[in-house]
Parts: sequence; structure tokens; C-alpha cells
Amino acid sequence: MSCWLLGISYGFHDSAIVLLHNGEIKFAAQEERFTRVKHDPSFPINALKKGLDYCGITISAVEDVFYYENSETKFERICETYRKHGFTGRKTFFKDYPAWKEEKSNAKNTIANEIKSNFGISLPQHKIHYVEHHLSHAASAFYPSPYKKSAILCIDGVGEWATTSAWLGNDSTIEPVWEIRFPHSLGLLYSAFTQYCGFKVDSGEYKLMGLAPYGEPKYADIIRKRLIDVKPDGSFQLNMYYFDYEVGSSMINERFESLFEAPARESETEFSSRHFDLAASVQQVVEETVFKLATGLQKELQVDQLCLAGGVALNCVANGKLARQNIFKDIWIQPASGDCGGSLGAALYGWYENHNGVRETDATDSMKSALLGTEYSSSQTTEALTQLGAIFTQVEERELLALTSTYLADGNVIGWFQGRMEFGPRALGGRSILGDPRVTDMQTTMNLKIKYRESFRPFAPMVLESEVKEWFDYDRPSPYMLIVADVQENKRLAVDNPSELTGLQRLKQTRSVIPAVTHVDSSARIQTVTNNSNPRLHKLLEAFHERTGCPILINTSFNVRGEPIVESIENAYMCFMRTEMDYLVVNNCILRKQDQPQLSESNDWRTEFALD
Amino acid sequence: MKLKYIKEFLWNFVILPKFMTTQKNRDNSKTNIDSYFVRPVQQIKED
Repeated sequence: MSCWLLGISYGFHDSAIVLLHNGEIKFAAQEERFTRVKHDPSFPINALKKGLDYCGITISAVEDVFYYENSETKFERICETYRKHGFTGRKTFFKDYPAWKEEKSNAKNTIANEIKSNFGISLPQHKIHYVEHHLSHAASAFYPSPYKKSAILCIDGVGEWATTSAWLGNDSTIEPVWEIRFPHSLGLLYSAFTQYCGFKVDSGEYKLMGLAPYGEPKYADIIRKRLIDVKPDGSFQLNMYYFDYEVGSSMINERFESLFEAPARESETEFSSRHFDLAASVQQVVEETVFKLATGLQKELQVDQLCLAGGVALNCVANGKLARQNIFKDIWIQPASGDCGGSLGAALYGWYENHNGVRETDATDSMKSALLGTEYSSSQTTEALTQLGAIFTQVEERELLALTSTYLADGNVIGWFQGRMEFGPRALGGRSILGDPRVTDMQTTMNLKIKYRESFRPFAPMVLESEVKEWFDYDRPSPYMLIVADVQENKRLAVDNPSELTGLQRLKQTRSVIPAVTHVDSSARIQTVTNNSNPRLHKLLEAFHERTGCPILINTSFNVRGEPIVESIENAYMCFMRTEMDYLVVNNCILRKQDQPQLSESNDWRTEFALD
Repeated sequence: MKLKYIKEFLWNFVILPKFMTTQKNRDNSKTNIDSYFVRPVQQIKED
């Protein structure tokens, strides 16, 4: 038996496709990587074509297509919301409603039309299935997890109606437990503060999380009293008097601004201590609510494991604290927790529900380290580099690792392009920029000269899993960089006059022996690496450890601010040449910046990517 | 096109709702004073 299934998410942000073969994930990729438009919501035709090529099949081989939400139910919710608001809804009705009525409300039609126009194949509508948005998230969290039975918690902005949902996963089945419905949404509460602090909604939430440790939760009581009512079981309701997102064009209204006694911060303007405090406050309230939800769910279901998905599950600070609270013995978080992962959940649900797939669990998950995208062979690599006019040296693995670890130990910044591309928002060693975490000014250098992004943003460490507890207050695997934990006390350094510096000035303080990956609250977002998860990366970490005594490297995504993570060798070379990276290592080829011919571009590349 | 949607907006979303006494309220705010959760059994009753 050979059964290929296609999962698709598109239409809102982070569109993606997944191809399953007999329930095994064969290919997964986001459309943004190919179109070079960050969070691209368009139909993922490029990802689909690449996926079919990679798997060596045509679209005719696909038995069923699963879309990650029910667009008809979602349209019902939109109509009901407009009915509720009457004339007030006019502000956005004429902008949003026609597209919904004409096209978006019938995703099955759009999918069939796209497949017909791109492949010339008429796909009958009975082969296209809707899987509810939160069920797709739940399936993406539970089915690839190593657990036979588990509670599942999904928290995001909104799908059809649900904004937060709980499920019980047992073997091949997923049963609903409860849900909280629109407009009451923890994800949208966080997005409201994201917008208020001057970041883009559906994009800048992780920046708000990064800003939180600079502040104090001075506004948490106002948020609890005026914005959100949280019951002891974790269920919550927002006070919509302060929000505008139901039918408005903004997340917040003027009453929200009055509540915090200032207008929203303009994008790219200076931060004040208020912004740090606001970020710290909403982070604290969201964490408290997530802990209450998890505690209530554990009491109700009496299971030992928890799976998490939905955009809020990318809040790795909350995840780390949740893991350390031991409400559940173990937790597993889907690395593609946002909407791109919905395509995976929809396809997996289709396999187990519609195709009666048999689920087998293992000690490790079935996400293959999230390395599920495109890859380039040795001959494709040399051919592409030659075409680009690059000067490179091709070496054997042993020499490659020795040279790369030496360059890193000498303080160089390296573009690391190896094997398959990651699925989800994180670079995990397939398309990464690497650096030495011991170098004091490395965070500033990489932020301002390589990534061209805000100086407050922290970098994450990748660490040999066998060494994680020596360096961090965490003793479990964290293969997907979704857990934040403190740097161990014995690796920290005494900070001179800690109370004298505030806000971004605290960046200047050296807090540990690995300062470039130690955030201002002495925490770090950890990725653990094993020989099984990524053999070459593991060997590189071992070589660096042997050379320096430090089993850790900085790992940040291979891109500049506003750019999707690089997909192709050409993307990687251009990013390397446009920034102050010192070396580029593409599969077995090494490129030194000084050896490369001057890059001549007619336009300023910085205008190519909209700031995120 | 615009006129079509102006008519639809006024009729379906402003005027008619004023006469709809049985409009289903999917907002979960009034479901339970101790908890804001909506349970599957409740969902089935609503639908």
C-alpha cells in the first residue's frame, strides 16, 4: 500500500505544505522560503512543487488533501461578529468581507482551482477535507510526540471560533475536552500589547517576549483587573471594551491607550522603561494563565504528559517555566507551533482518522529534528557556487569540522548551510549563523552587523545534550529551541553595580562566561543537540568543545531582519555577501569572505525586505 | 460591486439583526459563571 496525503495551510500567515507517505512525514516547508516574503500567506504553490519534486511524485499520487481549518465555519464567525457589531463594523467590512465572500470562505474551491491551473489535474472536491483549526494544532502536537496518551493544550489567536482548546490524545484518537471562544483570546491579548509596544502583529510577538526581561511587571495588576478575568481553572474572558480587533482595523482602541496613559509606540522609535514594563507585565499574566490552564487540565485528565501547540506555544519563556513546574511529568511542544504547523496536523489527522493509520510511538518524536525541507546534493552545491562566481574550497568532513571549529574559536561568524531545511520558525542547524558565545561583544556585533536588527534581541545557544545540565538549569532534551532556562550559577559572573544600569544599558553587563547567549535575566533559549538529531552539527559542537572547553555555539537563523530564512544556496551566498559574516560553509564547501569577488548590486538590498 | 456590498451590509448586518430575537450567541461569556470553558456536550446542544 502506498498512500500520499497533502496537508495545506494558507490564507492568513505562514502558509505551508506537508507531504505524508503512509503516515510518515516526507516533506514540509513554508511558502515564505521560496517567495522570500516573510510570513507569506499566499497559496503555497512553490512549496508544493518543491515537495513533489523532492518526493519524486506527481500531484496525481496524492490521495487526499487536508486543509488546516474550516473556512466556511470561519466565515460564519466573521458574519456573526459583524451582525453583533452592526453599523460599527463598517470600518473594515468593505475591505475584508468581499474577499471572504468571493473566495476565502470556500478554501476547497481555491485548492481545486490552484491544482487545476498549476498541474492541469481536476481534483474532485470530495478529496479535499477541512480539519478544524485547533484540531489541526492538536494533531500536530500529539501525533508526532513520543507519547501514547497525553493531554493537549492549544493556545493561539483564533481559528474558526476556538482561541484556546484542550484535548485528550490516546493512541490514534484525539477527543475534545473544552475550548474558549473568540473574541476571548490569550494570543490576541499578547498581540494587542505587541502592537501597543510598536511591533508588527503576527510577527513581533517574540520581540515582545525578548523585551520582557528588561522590565518589571508593574502593569500586571492593571491587566488582571481591567483587561482579563482569569478563573481558578485557567479559563478566561477579555474585557472587549479595550480592544478593537473584532471588527476594527487595530488590535486596541483609544481606551486601551488611556488605560496605560500614553499612545502606542511608533515603530522603530526609542524604547522607554514603560515598554519594558508593559512587556514584562503581559508576559507575567500570560504565564500565570497558562500555568492555571495546565494545572486544571492535569487535574481533570489525570495524565502525565502534555503536548502544546498554537502560536502561544512558541513563548519559550512560558514553556520553560511550565516544564520546570512539573505540573506534568513531561511536555512536548510542536516546533512548528504556528499556523504553518497546521498543515502538518491536518495531514496527520487525515491519516489517522480518514485512512485508519496505525500509530506507533518511540522514545523520540517523529519530527526528524524538524529537518523536513529542501536539500542540495554535493554536485548541486558546487554547480550553484560556480554559477554565482564564488571562490570556494571543497573538503572532507573531518577537515571541514576542524576548520569550522577553529574559525569559530577565533571569533569569526559563520553561515552554516547543511542538509535539509528546517520546518517552522526556528533555524536548528540546517540554515543557521553560528558564533562563539564566549565573546563579550558578539551579541552586539551579530545584531547590528550581521542581522541588522534591534540590539536588545538575545541569541540562543545550541549545546551538546550531554552537557546541558552542566551549563543550564535544565536537564532534559530541548531539541527545538522552545525552552528557556537559566545559565547555571557557577557559569555566571558577578555584575558590577547591578542597580545602576537600567533598560538597554543592561546589555553592556557581562553576566556569564557565555555572555553572547545570556539574556539580561541570565536566561537562555536552549537547543540541545545529539548525534541522532543532527550528526554533523553534533560533531561540530564536539570539535568546538574539544578546542575550547565550551560545548556551546550561538545559533541564529540564517537571514537578515525581515528576510525569511535562506532556502537555496543562492539565498545563502547573497546573505553572506551582504553582511559582515566571515565564512560560509555550504555542505562540504568553505567560502572565505576576503576571497570573494566584490558584489555589485544596482539597488540597495536593505529595501528588499520589509522590516518585521 | 460596491453597491451590492453596501446593500448586503445594511440589510444583513445592520437591519436584520435588530429583528433577530433568536440570534445564536457563540460568545462564551455567559455560559458559566464559575468557568468560561465551553464543553463538547454544550457545543452539541448549541448546534
